[in-house]
Amino acid sequence: MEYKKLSTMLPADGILNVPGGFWFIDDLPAEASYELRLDAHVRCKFILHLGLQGHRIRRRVIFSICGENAKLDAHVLIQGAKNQCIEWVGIQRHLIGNAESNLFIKSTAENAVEISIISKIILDANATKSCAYFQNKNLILSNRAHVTARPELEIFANDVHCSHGAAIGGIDPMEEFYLRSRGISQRAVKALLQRAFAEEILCQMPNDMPCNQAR
Amino acid sequence: MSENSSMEEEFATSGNFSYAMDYAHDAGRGLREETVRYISKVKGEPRWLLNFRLRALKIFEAAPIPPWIPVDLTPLQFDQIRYYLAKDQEPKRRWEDVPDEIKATFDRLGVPENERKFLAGVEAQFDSEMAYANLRQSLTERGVIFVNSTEGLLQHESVFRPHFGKVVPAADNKFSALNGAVFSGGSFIYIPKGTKLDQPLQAYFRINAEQFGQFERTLIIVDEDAEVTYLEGCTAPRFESSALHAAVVELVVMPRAKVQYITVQNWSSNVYNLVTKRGIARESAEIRWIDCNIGSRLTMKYPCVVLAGTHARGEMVSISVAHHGQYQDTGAKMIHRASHTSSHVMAKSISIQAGVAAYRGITRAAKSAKNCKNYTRCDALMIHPESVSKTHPTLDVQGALSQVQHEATVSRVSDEQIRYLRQRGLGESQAMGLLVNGFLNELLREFPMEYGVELKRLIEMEMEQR
Repeated sequence: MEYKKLSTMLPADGILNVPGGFWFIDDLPAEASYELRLDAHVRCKFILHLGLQGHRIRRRVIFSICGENAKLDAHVLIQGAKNQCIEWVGIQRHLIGNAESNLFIKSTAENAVEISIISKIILDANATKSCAYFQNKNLILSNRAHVTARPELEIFANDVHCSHGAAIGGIDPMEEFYLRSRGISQRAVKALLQRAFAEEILCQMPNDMPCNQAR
Repeated sequence: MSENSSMEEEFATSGNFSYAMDYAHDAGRGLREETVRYISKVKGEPRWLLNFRLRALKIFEAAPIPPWIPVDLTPLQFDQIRYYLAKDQEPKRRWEDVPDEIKATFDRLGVPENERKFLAGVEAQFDSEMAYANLRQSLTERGVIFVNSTEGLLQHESVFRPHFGKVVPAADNKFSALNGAVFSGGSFIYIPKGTKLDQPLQAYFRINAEQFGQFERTLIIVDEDAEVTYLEGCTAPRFESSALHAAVVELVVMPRAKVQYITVQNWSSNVYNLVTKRGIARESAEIRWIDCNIGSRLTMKYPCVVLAGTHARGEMVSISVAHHGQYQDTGAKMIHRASHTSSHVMAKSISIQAGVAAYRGITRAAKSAKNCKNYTRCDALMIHPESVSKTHPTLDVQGALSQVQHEATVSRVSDEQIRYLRQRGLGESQAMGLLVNGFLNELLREFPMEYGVELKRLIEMEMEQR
């Protein structure tokens, strides 16, 4: 699929009225804050990846739904290694109704990684007949890792569909046992399950991206 | 039809009754060191308790109002509040001895009937002090202690002092410090080892005076293998000015013991209800908070379970109904400090007209705790276009050995549902009442039957009032 890189188009003030299409966001500075606005009838899909480089990484992204019939689909993969400290702040704001947004975040935390995921869905009083969903799954791979998730909702309109969910956990002992009983080493099992967890988003990423070249 | 109109009439006047009272002890308005000394002197407290109060007062004065409080607290006017009002120091043991005007209030709330019907013991607090307290003779003989806070600290010091202020210290937050400084009333309960109470203990809290602050302090100690259910109900008349209710509840649950703490809060719409509730569960112990918040201007209540022993379990069932002008900020805290602990939170909220219902909670799994499990679910129902619903959960997990999950949904009563029921001959408000009860039914079943039926009826009436 054809994709566009956001970093080449982002203005200095960080506010961009996004034309429709498939966007990939990867090579931004360690600390970046931007607002992506979707006008009426714009349909966008974003793939974001965090954690390849840098010690302290911070992203603040506001997805503003400014027009009717807009549709946002954003998938975020956070892969923390060593002693990285990663913070994600994402806001899905619906200013107008009859639109849909869907944000899906997966993260893996190894070693002494600290990941903080703060997310908020805001549906303004005008945003009737909106659909907004948020889902967050976090996999902790080390006893020294620390993950905090704060999925928030602020709903000011009553005719809406809205839900969110967040889960934090380690590797399923049954899955681990199954693979170990087939002769796979502990280290390989961990890598395999980590890979399987991330695959859902990784497989949507362009093949020439650094995060995907390791596949 | 006539039944409906009599129900409406009863509802319209249900919170309005208040009685002129002559108080024997009045600490006056505003909070100063003399106020605290006066309360302590009237209650005949030992030196260590006065020092505890004075220390708490200093913490209260130094602590700022938390910036995240969602509602402006200026109508409260801390310097205008009356912090201690009491008619008697000793609660009456026989219902006949309770003064007529107080008896009339609690008669209307159904205290004597409930006690006869299904309670093992009852306490009724009128403003600052318990007006009536009674425990079945058979339970006294088995070593159960069910007294008010002053009596507990003076007569059973060796039992209560080691736990007093340890679960919720005065420095926990500004309002627990305020409670520490001026607390009066509340229940002290001790259930000895292996004692299982078949019938619940109950307390009724009643604010009668205008611009009054009620600061009861409840401490429940449940020894090994014991079980108890505690019910509390709260009401207040409607006044022009605001009242404050800042209670502290501490539960100490020893290994393999079980506590069920049920609250039905129906304060009038001028009461600010800022309560700190926390329980510590030791090995294989169980704490269940069942909470229903219908009244008050602002409720901020996040019952907490500290799972400090292995295989301990915490549970929270929360129902909140936010009417026009009300802010119900409720939730739960589950702190997993030991391995193999589990917790479960079920919260349902309803926003009516411009009411705001919010869930605020935290689930924390410590690094040292292995195989901890938590599941939290909150559902919100919004009835009107101007209704507001908010969710502010925090999941905080250290280490790879715990599983924590949170889910939330927001929905509305659809036109199709209303139309379907109206076609079957129900009026619009009846249809709405039925749908709202259907939404809550799963959680209402968790309440004792008498309370569940009463709550259903109350919610139906609320929907008819809308």
